[in-house]
Amino acid sequence: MLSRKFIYIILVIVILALLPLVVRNPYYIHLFIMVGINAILAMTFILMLRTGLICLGIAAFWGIGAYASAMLSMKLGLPVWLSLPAAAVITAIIAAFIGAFLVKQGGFGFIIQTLAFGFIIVLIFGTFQVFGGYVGIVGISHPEPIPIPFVGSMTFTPISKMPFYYLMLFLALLMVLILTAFYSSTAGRAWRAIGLSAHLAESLGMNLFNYRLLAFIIASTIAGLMGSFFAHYFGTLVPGSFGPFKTINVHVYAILGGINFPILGPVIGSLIMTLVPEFLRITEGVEPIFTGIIMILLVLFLPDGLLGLTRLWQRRGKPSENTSHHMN
Amino acid sequence: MVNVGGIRISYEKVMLIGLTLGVIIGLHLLLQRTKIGRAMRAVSFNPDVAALQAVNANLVYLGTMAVGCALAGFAGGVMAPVFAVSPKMGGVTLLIILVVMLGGVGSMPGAILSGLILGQILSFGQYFLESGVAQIIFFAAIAIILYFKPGGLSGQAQQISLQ
Amino acid sequence: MLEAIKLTKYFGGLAAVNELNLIVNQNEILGLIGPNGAGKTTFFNVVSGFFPPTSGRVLFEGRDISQLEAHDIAHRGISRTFQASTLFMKLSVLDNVFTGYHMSYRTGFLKRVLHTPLARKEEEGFKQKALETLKFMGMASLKDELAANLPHGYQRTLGIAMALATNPKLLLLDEPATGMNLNEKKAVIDLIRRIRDMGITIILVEHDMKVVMDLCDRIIVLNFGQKIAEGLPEEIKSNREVVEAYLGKEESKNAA
Repeated sequence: MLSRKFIYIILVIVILALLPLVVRNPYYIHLFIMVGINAILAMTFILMLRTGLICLGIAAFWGIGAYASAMLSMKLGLPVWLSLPAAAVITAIIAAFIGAFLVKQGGFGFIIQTLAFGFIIVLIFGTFQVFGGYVGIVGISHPEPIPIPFVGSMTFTPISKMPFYYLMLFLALLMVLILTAFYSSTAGRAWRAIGLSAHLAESLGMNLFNYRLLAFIIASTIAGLMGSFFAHYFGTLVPGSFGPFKTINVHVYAILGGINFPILGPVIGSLIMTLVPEFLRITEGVEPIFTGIIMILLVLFLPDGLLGLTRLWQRRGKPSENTSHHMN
Repeated sequence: MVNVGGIRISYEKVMLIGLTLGVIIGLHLLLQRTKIGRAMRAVSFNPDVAALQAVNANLVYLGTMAVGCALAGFAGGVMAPVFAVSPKMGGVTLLIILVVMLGGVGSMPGAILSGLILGQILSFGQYFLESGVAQIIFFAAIAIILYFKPGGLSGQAQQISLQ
Repeated sequence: MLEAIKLTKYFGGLAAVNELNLIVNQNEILGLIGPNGAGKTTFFNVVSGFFPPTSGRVLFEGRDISQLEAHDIAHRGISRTFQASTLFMKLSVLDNVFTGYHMSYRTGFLKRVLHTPLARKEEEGFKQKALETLKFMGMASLKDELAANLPHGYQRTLGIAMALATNPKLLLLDEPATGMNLNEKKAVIDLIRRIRDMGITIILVEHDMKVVMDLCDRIIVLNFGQKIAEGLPEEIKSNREVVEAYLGKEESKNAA
């Protein structure tokens, strides 16, 4: 009665939920939290990519959400559980306004404009002291404890990362749910159609601008939400980490996994790119070399990403289908 | 130091300006007057037709890449005595993409013009306004100009297919 | 049904369509012919909203559609096929046609995203309709085939199927018979006739004269973006200017 796919998904969720009980080291839990954040960011990249938009401003919206939530909770004294969704709303509104300006450009102009936007956002955060300048914001409040029935309350302290992990997991699964819902709806089909052939989609009545803007707003809001989580988890925000370089890293996660796999690809890509440098003991200064080499290898040998290999393996089995049919 | 109408410019900077002008002129001559330059322009317009004229597109790409990197190296070398040298200098690459876009892809006068104008905006901006604000205006100006003139200042926009 | 008034479209300095006046009557099959570069596809592109006209107007059912964008024009009831086989190559044949029903959804956007039972039912309904359209075209057996794997003839008819799915009042067919053998052409002619019988008006751009003569109620001949002849197929066949346009100026040069 339950489909195989459903069982796999439940299994995966259970494994993910039990992970911090197995992996006790808080540093590794931190890594997995970052994997989660990066994976969701990469998913937003693919969302926009499907409609023909290559966005260089993903980290910028990640930052907008982070700063918004930090400001709301610190300057306005909002409880964190309120500032998280509020920051998402703020990000959505900004995305709607800026998006209308950006998406109007069409494919190539969009890339350039989001690049400029990416720079501008970092500058805004760095220049104006209200955002803490280039030193950034420190000491951002952690989420207030939430009561769990029968167990007591779950406190969010920076020492044990476990509660943050579960919060990240919850948010990530929620985002995946939302994305999947959109992908399997007519909006998702429209996005796919626009990405495959924009002219044809237009002639079938699809408003390119509207659908692209929708994808942009959804993607940016999701990025913003993950940003607001990041602010309250990490506790410190430095403007430099929200620039186009970060966005390009996110691109690599997505491409490594395979851009044809909107959910699974980013998870795999982000998993590898976050964990492998750790195992290879690559220090922060040297990490760009690693990322750079991966990028070159991807472009040369693996443009469809790792999961793209599975497609290749699938295709091998099918017989050639170019027989000539005659009508009637 | 050289005194030009009341402004003191160091010898290094004069050399920088002079050498840069020389290189720009040289590049222009290369593209317009030599066979190699013609080949480059042909390939950029239509690689297939260029092939019909016995131009090896791949070699041209290679050569263009070489010239481009040489120019970048020249820029770095000539900037070294004047500006600081750091491993992160190359981070300016993304910025340069914007500058070139503003000038119009495929247009050398556009790139030069845009570089000059943007450099001025930045310098004067940083003098009169706070450094960060100047930079914000700088990028915002690029974004707005490109919005109204997607082809850049020179109006030229070479078709870049995103296939 | 459709009227072009002094329609002009310049590309740079070249007038692809030059002060064209054209009328299309309801439920007729109008043939649009002319040598390459005469402006036929440009005319289609302007009417279907992919290019705005430089000057002049296009009226559809009495209303001015000149400045509308392509998707709005599709909603008004004008559909088209493309010269190059423009399909969703990575999707199956059924999915291609199914996408054509995109405009016809009645359930609200939010309901569709949330996959309410109502939305799902409508989706199933359109999948059925897509299958029926394929049956109407004689392509039902290919429904799961990747569009990219189809032989050329079927790709053309798939394009027509997609345009049909949008429930158009006016159908612009851009060289539907190109690259087809005799049998395929016969099938396409039959198909177009059946489409007309459904009440749809058709403008046909085609180079194969036999197809044009066979199908069209009326023919308009374009050259250099202007109308040089208009009338019934027999009249056009014997029109000297038309022959000259196709065979080039050599005839008149030698004569002069």
